[in-house]
Amino acid sequence: MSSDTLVAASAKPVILSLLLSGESYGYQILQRVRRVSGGAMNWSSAMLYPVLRRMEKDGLILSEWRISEENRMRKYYRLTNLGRQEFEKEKARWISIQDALRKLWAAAPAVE
Amino acid sequence: MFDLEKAIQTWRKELATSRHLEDSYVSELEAALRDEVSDRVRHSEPVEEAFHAASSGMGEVRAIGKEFAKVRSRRRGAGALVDNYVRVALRKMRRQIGYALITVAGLAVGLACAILMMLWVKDETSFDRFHVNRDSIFRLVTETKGETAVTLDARAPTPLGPAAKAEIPEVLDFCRYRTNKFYGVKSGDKALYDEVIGIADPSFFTLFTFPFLKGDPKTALEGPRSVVVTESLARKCFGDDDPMGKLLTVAVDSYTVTGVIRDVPDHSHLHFSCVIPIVNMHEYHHVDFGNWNSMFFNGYVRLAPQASPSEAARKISALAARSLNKPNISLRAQPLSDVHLKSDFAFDLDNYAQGSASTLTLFSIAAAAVLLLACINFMNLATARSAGRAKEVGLRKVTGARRADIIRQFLGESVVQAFLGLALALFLLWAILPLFNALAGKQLSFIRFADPGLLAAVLGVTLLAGLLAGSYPALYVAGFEPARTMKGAFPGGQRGQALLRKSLVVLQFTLTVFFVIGTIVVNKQLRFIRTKNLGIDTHQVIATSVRSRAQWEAIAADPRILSASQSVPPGSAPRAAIEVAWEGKNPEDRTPFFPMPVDPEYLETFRVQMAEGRFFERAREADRTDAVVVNETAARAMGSGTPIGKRLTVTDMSTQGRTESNTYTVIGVMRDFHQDSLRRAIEPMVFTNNGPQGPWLNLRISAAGIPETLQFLEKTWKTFAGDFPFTYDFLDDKIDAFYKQDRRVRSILSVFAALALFTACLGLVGLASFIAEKRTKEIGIRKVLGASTRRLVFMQSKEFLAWVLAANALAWPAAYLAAGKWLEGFAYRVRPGISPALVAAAFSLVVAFLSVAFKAARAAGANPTESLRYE
Repeated sequence: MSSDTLVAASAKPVILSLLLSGESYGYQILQRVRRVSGGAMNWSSAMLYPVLRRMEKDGLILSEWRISEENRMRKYYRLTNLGRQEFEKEKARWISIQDALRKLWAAAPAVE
Repeated sequence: MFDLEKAIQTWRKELATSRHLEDSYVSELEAALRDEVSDRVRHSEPVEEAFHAASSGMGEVRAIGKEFAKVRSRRRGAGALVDNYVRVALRKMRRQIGYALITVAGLAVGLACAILMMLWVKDETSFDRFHVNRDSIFRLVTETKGETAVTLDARAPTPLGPAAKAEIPEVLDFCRYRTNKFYGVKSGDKALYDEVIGIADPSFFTLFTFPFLKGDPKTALEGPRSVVVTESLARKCFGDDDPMGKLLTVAVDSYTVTGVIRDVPDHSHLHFSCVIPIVNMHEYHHVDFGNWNSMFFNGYVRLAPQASPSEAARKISALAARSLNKPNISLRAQPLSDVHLKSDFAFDLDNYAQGSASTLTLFSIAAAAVLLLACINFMNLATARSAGRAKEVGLRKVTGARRADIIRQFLGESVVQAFLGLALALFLLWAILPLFNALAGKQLSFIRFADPGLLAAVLGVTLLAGLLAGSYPALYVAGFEPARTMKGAFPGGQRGQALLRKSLVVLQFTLTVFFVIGTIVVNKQLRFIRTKNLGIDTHQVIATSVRSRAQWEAIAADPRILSASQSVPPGSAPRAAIEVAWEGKNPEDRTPFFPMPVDPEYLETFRVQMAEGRFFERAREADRTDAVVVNETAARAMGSGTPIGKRLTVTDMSTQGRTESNTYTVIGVMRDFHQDSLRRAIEPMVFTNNGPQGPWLNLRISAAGIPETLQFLEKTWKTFAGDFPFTYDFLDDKIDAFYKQDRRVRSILSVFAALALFTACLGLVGLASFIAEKRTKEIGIRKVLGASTRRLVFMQSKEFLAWVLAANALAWPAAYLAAGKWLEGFAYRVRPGISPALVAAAFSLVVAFLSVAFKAARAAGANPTESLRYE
């Protein structure tokens, strides 16, 4: 994965999808994204937190400071109802793009 | 050895330098950094390497900041900040609506007072500012130094203006001016008797700036029978016709309209509906324009821009003293801008809607005090309640909020409340402005807010009040130590803080008691004035005017008229001193004597008493030419022993400037009586009986059928005076009018006292409920143990009452000092005594007790099982 715009565009659906399974905190999100993409998506903190902040402002997620088991302050994020609805929309959008691309690639001859 | 904590702190500090990174962002990044570091360490990476890898993985400070800036860019800067403060402040207020109401209502009352005063000050200080030459125009005030007193006369010697212009280079121009309200204006069959006629030199319209709609300001008043009219007078007289060149009858003569000006602005001490040239005063009032003793007009001069007013005044004084041959006469140059507010002179008759600078100062201070009271309420309640917010502040601090952030948040909240108070204040003001106008005799209006300066001042004062009110709570709260507050330590109960709260309450009540005492003393003096035996009986005496001896006779013959005297009524006596000499008088003695032309009926009409000798008798012809009566003060001034039989030489300078010397024999001494405001001491008076000296007629009428008597007088007037309107005054009202300004002071002062008391009590209610809340458990236990409700109320009120008593003790000296100063303005005054202090003490204690007891009774009346369960 390379192009910055694509990273930016996919960040929101990825975060929504991750939080769908339950609340999480920043570092955990970064780790899970890397793991699930097999290292292809290597987000930085500087990229993630502003996106989280914007999503919170848009009312898609909620945050809460809590003390972790290691006795450290940590900010946990979870989806709001609006976030769940947004997830459904994003999902539909990405599936339609994926479908379109797959059809195109199936019809086209291989580049090699 | 690598210290991870130190490294993280350094990294954090570096991040904090980015202006895009708020504290909470930094905290979150720190949490992520720590997560990654511990993750790496778990995978057996050395701590130092783990830290460097994790921190560099986060990127450069600048890059991180830029990313965050993108999020904030949607709403950033002051707008977002204000939005945030407003939201937080409103949320906090909703949670404690009672306290919020107290603080906002208090601030609203304080701000309403402050804004009202700003409106008033703005109004009073905007007089005479519309003249182009305003900074170089001065009014000449004549100062006469006597043995004991200095008399100040708003008028200047008649020839002074032209002489000063001719001889003193600094004087560029001059203008003499006065008004007459009795001439009447007629045009065709329209007759107007309420118009004020200005009388002025032709330079009037070049010296002052009254915009001309028609005609030429330079030449309009050059013809002796020319008149310049205002727009509204022109419309009244000529309708829509062009008034130029038309004839207007002023007094008895026809004048040609040579100019039309815009109506005189309200904020002008010169007020008239038309102006005629002064040359006519020779014919109408025998003014001798060459006589230096003539004092008929107000004198204005325009000085050269670079001239020193005091130097010019010195030269003008020298000129007047030389021409009058009186070294004790001098002239002051009063700046035009001072005429409205800073005039306390005799004969200041043409000063329209005169104001008083000292009254204005007094009320500005009072308004500022009420606002201060409201700010104190805010401080007190905010610090008292800060205990409840200690945890919030602690958490904010733990999550990385800096001291400055906390201060900013709390100040933001108080400023938001101040602006809410402002909104309420404007509403309040809108509601009470008509009432205030009636009370103060003003025409203040909201239109003034269009003035950017005033608007800025109002917003500035609101901001200042918000900052002042929030300053202490903000600093105090920001100092909380999170470690302690999070554990539930209770900062609100600290000893030093409780002391400060008490001092603030004491300060509030000190101010309140000060106002209450002030109000009582003013009231006492006014009552003293009303009930004081003036030595003269003005009850059921009418002052009117008479046109002829025949009219006098027709009136005097009626049985309803008990007595009729053709003399100057008390309260409108001319105040120009005369020179009096007698055998053996010390030539250095310059005690001013004042003339009082009367007729033999004076004594009976005003029911004045004789101390010695006799009064004038109509039957004795010699009384007209050879006899005078003096009052007791004059008799004392003439030395020991009876003055009866002494020969008195009176040198009289009439307003027309004629000087006459006559020698009389003193035939009687009249008991002293007050014919002027009690502010003035009784002066040495000389009564003469040289026949009528004016149109005045004083009638003592019978108490029965006063309306019929007035009808009869009007009918008689119509027979003798034609269509001129019949006017009269009850002398009681006239005397009462001396104290109009004082009564206003009383009304407005009592309003301020009430507001101060109200605001201070609001604060008490708040504090009492706060304390009752804190002591719920104690009260519950006491109740279980058998304490009565009454005892519990007393227990809670005791402390407050002690504060209020302390406030009383502090306020007394200051209030008595101030009241004494005000009373000094009266030659005859009450001794305030101890009663105002006692009344104020009782009053403040009762009101304070009621405010506290209300809350305390509720706390004491609560079911102890409830309170004990919850604590």
